[in-house]
Amino acid sequence: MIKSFHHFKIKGLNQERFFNNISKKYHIFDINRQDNTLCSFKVERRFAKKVKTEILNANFTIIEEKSSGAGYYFSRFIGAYGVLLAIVLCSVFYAFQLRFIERIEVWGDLNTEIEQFLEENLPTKNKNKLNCDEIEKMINDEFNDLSFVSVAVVGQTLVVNVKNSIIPSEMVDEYAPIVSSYDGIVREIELVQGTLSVEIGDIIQKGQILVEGYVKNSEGEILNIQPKAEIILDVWAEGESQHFSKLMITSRTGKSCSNTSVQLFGYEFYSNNVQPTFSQYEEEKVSEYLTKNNILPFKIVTTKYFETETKVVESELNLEKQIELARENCLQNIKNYEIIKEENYRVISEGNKTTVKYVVTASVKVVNV
Amino acid sequence: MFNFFSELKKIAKNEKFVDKYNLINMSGKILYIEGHTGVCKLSHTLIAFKVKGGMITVEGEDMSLAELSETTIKIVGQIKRVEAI
Repeated sequence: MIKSFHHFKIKGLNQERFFNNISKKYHIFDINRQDNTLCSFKVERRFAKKVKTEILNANFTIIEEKSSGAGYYFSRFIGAYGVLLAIVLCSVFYAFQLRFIERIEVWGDLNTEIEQFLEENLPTKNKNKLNCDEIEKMINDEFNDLSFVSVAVVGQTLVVNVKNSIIPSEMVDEYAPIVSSYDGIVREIELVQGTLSVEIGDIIQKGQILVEGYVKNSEGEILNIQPKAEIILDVWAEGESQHFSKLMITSRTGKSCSNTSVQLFGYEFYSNNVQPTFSQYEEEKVSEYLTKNNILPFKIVTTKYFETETKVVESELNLEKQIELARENCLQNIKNYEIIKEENYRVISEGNKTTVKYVVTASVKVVNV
Repeated sequence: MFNFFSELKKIAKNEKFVDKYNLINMSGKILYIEGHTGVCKLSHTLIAFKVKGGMITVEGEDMSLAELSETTIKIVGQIKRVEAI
């Protein structure tokens, strides 16, 4: 039944000779001779055209011919409903892929970096599971210079609209105010020109304006002027160092294995099923697209497992060295200091951990003359 | 793989005629022939075909050629008599 046959009913004389001739080329089935001139037989459907030519060349008349078998009915079905079937399958596939984000479009600054960041960190490409607020937060956390981020799903495109932070022109030109780079207390002020925003003894914060870039004349008009002043601030900074008498250090042994899988929209299609046999390991995952087409974004995900070992290292506390280290860390937080006015430290011990906290108060000169 | 005809030929290895054709009759319903050289007569009651060194006639009722290839024939129907001439 699986094989397809083509039936012939022919009319003509000397049929034995004809069958002897064509049996040398083709396998013939069910030869049924009805009378001296009438005969029916069947051949495999793939030879039907050739056999028909042979019949006509032998001057026989074909009275009837028809095909049968599963292959024949299947080809007829494809011929009749193939286009319809293709349309249905395409529609199903189209409807399925509509659920996923096809591409990411970034409008505004840093578009390449943001696009790359999203390609690597987008939690899912399923539109229903995508949370635009979360993505906005992710971008805001990653890129500090942005003042505005908006994420929206438009069709199958993830549209990201970003804007860089805008610094007002009056904050960067020649009339820009003198701004404090430290938290501290104002100790001395020597104003050359401009308008003071602080007084001696004021506690100020980092970024606060000390001298404005304008003056008011006797008539109350505001005149822009380059601010010039010498201001001394008392600032303080903290630094610390820690020491552990027992420290657990984890390091890689050098042994590794890797697992590779092919995924489409997060679903795994193939994996070489390599699982780490190590008792303790770290893993690094690298994911990249197999092809650059947008229709089927297959991803190859390689997970590399590195065997690790943990050792307990014991060390003696050298308090002087730890205090010096804490002081260095502290002074890194104050640049261009004039005089160190006061410094002190505290030693805190908790179990096997010793922390040295160092505090420095220094005079810093803010000069713009 | 076991082959019935080959086993029989091994037994009768000194006989030359065994290479000409093979013919097997299954319960008078199916007749299978290997080594024919052409069909001579074809009807519901008589089928004749040539073999090396002669001819074979098959007489019966409602007979037809179920299969025909260059060297083999399968006849089905009521087979009453097979004669080698």
